[in-house]
Amino acid sequence: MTATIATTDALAVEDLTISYGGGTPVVSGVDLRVGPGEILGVIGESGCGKSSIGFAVLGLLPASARVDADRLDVGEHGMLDADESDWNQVRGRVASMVFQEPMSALNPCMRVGAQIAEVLLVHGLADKKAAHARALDLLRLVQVPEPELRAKQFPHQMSGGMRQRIVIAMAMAANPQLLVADEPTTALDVTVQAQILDLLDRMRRETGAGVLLISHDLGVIAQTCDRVVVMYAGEIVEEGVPTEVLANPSHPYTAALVASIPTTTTAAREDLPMIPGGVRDADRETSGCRFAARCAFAVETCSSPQALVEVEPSHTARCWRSTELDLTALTEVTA
Amino acid sequence: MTLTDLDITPRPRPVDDPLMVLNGVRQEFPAAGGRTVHALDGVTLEVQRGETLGIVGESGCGKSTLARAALLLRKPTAGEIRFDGKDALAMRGGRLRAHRRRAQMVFQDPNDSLDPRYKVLRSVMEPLLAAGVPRGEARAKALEALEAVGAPDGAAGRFPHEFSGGQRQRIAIARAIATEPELVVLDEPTSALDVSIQAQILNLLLELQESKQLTYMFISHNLAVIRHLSHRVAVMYLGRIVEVGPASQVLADPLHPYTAALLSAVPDPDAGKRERIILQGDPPSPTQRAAGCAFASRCWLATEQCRTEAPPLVRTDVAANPTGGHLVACHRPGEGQEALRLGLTPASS
Repeated sequence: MTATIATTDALAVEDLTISYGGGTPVVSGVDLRVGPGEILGVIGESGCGKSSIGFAVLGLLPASARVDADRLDVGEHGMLDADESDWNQVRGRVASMVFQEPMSALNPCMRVGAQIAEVLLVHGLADKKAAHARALDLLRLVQVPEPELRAKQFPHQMSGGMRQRIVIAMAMAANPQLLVADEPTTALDVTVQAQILDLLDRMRRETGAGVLLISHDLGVIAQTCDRVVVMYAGEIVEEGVPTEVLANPSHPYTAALVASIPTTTTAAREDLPMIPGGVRDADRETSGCRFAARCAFAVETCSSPQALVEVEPSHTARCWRSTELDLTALTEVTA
Repeated sequence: MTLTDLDITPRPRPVDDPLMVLNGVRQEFPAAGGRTVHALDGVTLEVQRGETLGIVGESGCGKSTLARAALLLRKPTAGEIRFDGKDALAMRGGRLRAHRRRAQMVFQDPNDSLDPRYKVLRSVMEPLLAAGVPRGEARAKALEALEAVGAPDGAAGRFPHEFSGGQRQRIAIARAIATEPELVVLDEPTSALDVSIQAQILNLLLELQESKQLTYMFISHNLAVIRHLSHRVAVMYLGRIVEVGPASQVLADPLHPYTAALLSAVPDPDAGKRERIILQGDPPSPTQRAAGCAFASRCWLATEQCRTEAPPLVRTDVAANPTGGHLVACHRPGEGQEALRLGLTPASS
């Protein structure tokens, strides 16, 4: 194990930068902190770097990826210069992951009870008999009906929601401090999504695990998270409590994103506000605001570098104009 | 504010002029072990000319089978489909091919309708050529359709892989409207897109519906999108329509407990954390036909009657809505929403 820094946080990341094959960084200067029992949401569109962050904090990025940071603590473990064997000690035990597609995490040829027990056996946390008993407990914990029967079944004999419960049971097997959930409900139906989100919420309350919840669904984030970071082109542009950030955004990108989604407060069959254009590679290289090229409020100042600044207590935004702009018009009821 | 307590903007009520009528449509598929999948279990539905009929439901409820039936891609096991007053299931050969011009489809994944080896123009011309339109005319109509959807300049001569997902969906829409159809079935057209792109596509669909007088059958699991686009909404569960009516009524004041649960399960960014009905379990297998209400096994209001006697889809407001109306198949209509209002939701345990 590398240097250990005492901390109770599930995750502490400072100045994280990720690039692939020497290219422009896909994630730059990201600070994240997930407290015990806290759910931190990461939201953004495809290509904003949110999944790269999820992989980086579990040491799962491919060898071609370059990860730089001032700090990368998973639980008590400083993983900044960790090698593969260090990560093997942490993954599954201190931190684990739930993916969008449960079948990508399950072995189709292995009974699910054995798969859950395997997590404990690999880390030497239990003998075979104890691991099997714990697997049944975990199936009960994630509310799988008839756990004895289900433990003997294979993944293909289960519904998508049931498989995702199995994956969560595996992820929670070793009582990790951090759970990274990357779009955990995107492949599920809404009524099953509600069950899984409810389960995640109960899990973190009961076990005290911190959760990094990555999603593109603003509703899921609003419903589940204690805090949210909004990513744009590899940078955090806004951070705060979801109700604050989504209802009263201080960054024009967040405001435009919220406005573009039909919700209960958008006028039916009226045009939705759109964000023109798309993210260009050049936006990731600029030293100024990366959203400026698409922003309706951009001025000359926006080409200068800017920091995440506090707009309200525990609500920060990376925008030169956040204090002077009135973005409520964008997000207000258009009906 | 939640999806259900909001007064939705008035929309023009579709007049009683059905473009397509489905009557008792059943679609069965053989399954392993000699069982039968009842994908559509007696669907009766009207699609009014010029309206958007939203179809909501979860995986396996029969939404996509319904879309295929509406496009006459598969002959139903039983039931009747009338298009523009005529028996659509009786059409064969040339008549059926000519009919295909009038009803087109947009899929979730634009790659399903665009051949990666064909230039865009050829893909967009294809349905026209299949309908027997001469090549020159087909070319002109295809270019016109590409322009109507706002495809980038020179798109016709390029390949699908040169475009982003949103642009590709525009091109797939151009292909669907090129034959100047009356009915367009949209099967989750924005589900694979980022939200900012979704807004562009939804705006385009609204604009095309107005300018080309299109009738949409809009299938989605996303209730917010359904609400945004639809005049009327039909809610499906296990191959049956459990509720259908004006969007403003079904989504604001649902009568079926399943609709109430579905609405409350949708995380709403405006609502934050709120009271939800969390249904237990998964929908039962469509190989088992319920004797009573299909939803009874998951319904917290179910009584003995619900388990043994299938509730018919009946009109609730004959006086207020002589045509169209709000229909529900439930022995205890309105009680699910009432329970939510009173905070008497089933324990999320």
